[in-house]
Amino acid sequence: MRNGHSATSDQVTRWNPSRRELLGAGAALAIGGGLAGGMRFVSQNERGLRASVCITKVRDYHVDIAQRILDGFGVLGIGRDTLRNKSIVLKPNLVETARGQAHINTNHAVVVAAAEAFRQMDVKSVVVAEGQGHRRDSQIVLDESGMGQALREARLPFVDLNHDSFTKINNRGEWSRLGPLFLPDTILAADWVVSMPKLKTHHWTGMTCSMKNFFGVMPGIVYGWPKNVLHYAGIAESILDINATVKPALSIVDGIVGMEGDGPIMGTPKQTGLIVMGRNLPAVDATCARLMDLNPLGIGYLNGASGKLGPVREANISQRGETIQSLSSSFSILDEPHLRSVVSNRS
Amino acid sequence: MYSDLKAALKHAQTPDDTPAMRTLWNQTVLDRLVRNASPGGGFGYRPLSCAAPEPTALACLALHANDDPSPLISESLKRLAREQQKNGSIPVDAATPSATWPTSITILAWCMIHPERYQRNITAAMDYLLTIEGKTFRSDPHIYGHDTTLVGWPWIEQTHTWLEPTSYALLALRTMAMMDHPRARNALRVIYDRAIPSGGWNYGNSRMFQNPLRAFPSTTGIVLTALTGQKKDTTIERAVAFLLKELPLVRSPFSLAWGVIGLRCWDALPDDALRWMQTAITRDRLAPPSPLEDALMLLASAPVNLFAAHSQQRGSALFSQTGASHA
Repeated sequence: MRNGHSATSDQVTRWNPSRRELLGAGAALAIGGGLAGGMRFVSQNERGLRASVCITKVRDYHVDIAQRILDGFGVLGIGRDTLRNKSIVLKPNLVETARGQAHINTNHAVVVAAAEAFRQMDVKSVVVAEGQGHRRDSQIVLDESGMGQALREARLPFVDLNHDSFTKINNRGEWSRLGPLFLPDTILAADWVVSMPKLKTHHWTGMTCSMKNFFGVMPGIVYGWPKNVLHYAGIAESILDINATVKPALSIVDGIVGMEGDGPIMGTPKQTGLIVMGRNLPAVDATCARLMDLNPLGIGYLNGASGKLGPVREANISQRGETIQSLSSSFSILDEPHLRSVVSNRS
Repeated sequence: MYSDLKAALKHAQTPDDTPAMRTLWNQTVLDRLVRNASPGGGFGYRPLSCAAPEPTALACLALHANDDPSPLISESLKRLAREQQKNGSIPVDAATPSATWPTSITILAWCMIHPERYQRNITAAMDYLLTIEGKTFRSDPHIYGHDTTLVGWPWIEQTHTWLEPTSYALLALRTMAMMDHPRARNALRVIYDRAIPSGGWNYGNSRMFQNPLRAFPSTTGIVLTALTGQKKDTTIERAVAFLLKELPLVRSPFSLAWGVIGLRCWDALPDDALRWMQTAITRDRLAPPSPLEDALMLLASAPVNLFAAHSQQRGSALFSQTGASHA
């Protein structure tokens, strides 16, 4: 484990990583995954891209989270006119569950609260959907996470994306060698796909948040359990391709209790007390990285996204609500060579 | 949706009523499975949805194991034959030709139900299966708990070996009386290498970095099923103990059914299992049970455990007829 100190934006700006440092050996080691050819880490120019991200303090899962999310909609300029009659898919992270280990997954209270907030905005429908990466059995994941009971009580339908019908579509990213993507029809039919990740460290990529969460829209029957096709095509590259193709409309990050250390499964809970929201996912993830005291441009997929899918540099992100400085806290990560760039901001 | 079944079972909840209870819910689930067949033939991952090879093959086995006279079996087996590719594989969908993991399960269905009728299909599928290998790579033992150079089967061509497809392939080899084949021996090595020290298996990683990972009931059940016929040892005993501890808490049909099948293969099924399954079938849930779940529950509760009972002799006889040379 490695603990560090808060980074200054100056430190982040000065650090000039090489392509090799960015991916390090990490992607090459991940279940046979490779450093895919043609990765376009040329991201230092964000070409005037700007985005807003809202950070909200939320003490625990018992407060009125729906109201905080509605407040976030207001801050981000998401009004009733934007959402009326839209079909919404909420995509939480349920990658793997274990009894008594609630910090692995997006908490059901946040998902239900988000659904309630959307319903108050006169949307046409809200569906919760997930294609978890390790366990084939969605029902046991719903049972063990408490998500199933919460969704039933809130009368929210759930779609198992691993076994959903799917359609072959053009890859709008082409960072990886995946070629066309096979996406679930539930995702393709939605007006708004909303990423609802957990704020966690990740032993390969450094962090897993809004963008990595979309590995869970790829149907397991086509990509496997784990979704090893994506590992072989390059983790960072696949994340970028999927996000470029799915075009998510919003992210709502459950950072009330996060995970540090050996994430995304075996880490320890980290009380952080916040929800992060934004319509541009690279900007949301960059903000989350700063809140975790990680270097966003040292995270391969964020470096690749910078200037292509959104802004990552702090100067190009308008932080609303709470400040990063007031809530930032160092998340410990594994002390592994391939994660050095992720904490290069720490002394 | 299940109110009739629930009411009936409420009056049958004494130990003496066990056979009646089994008959009652077996018939209900059988009827539901047949009702939920795809309109175009076969079975899908959701009721009445487009057919897919895995639920189709397992539904055929479930109907067969429960002596159901439905014509759906022969129609569905024919459908699987139509979906076979020129290379012998049966992919998830024609649009995903490298997602060939259903090939093994389809072989099981053809071989256990109509081996003579599908002899050529089985031979072609076996030939394909034996050409597919999970990719290997050299790794640092500090990172992975398993030996990444061992060869089993992947979910998708050109990816690493994982336990569920390897177990399905091993079941196919056993059904074909090919447990002496080098690929079967390698598959056993993969399975033993990836066992979680405290008992059971997950998707196929026993440890990552410093932390041992958690076992899953479904994969543990599938692997134990694939190991039927092997000599009982501490790895198997630990896996059985894991299931006996976990299954009383599991009410999800997929995990529970594979867990029960795995325990049945090792004569370790407790008396309570029927009641676990009854609860799983009648519980309230978000989505209606899928044909895959119903098929697995029917296989788990069938009078004869098809996976343990299917004799190697039958496969052997078939194999000698095909003239294929897999050894």
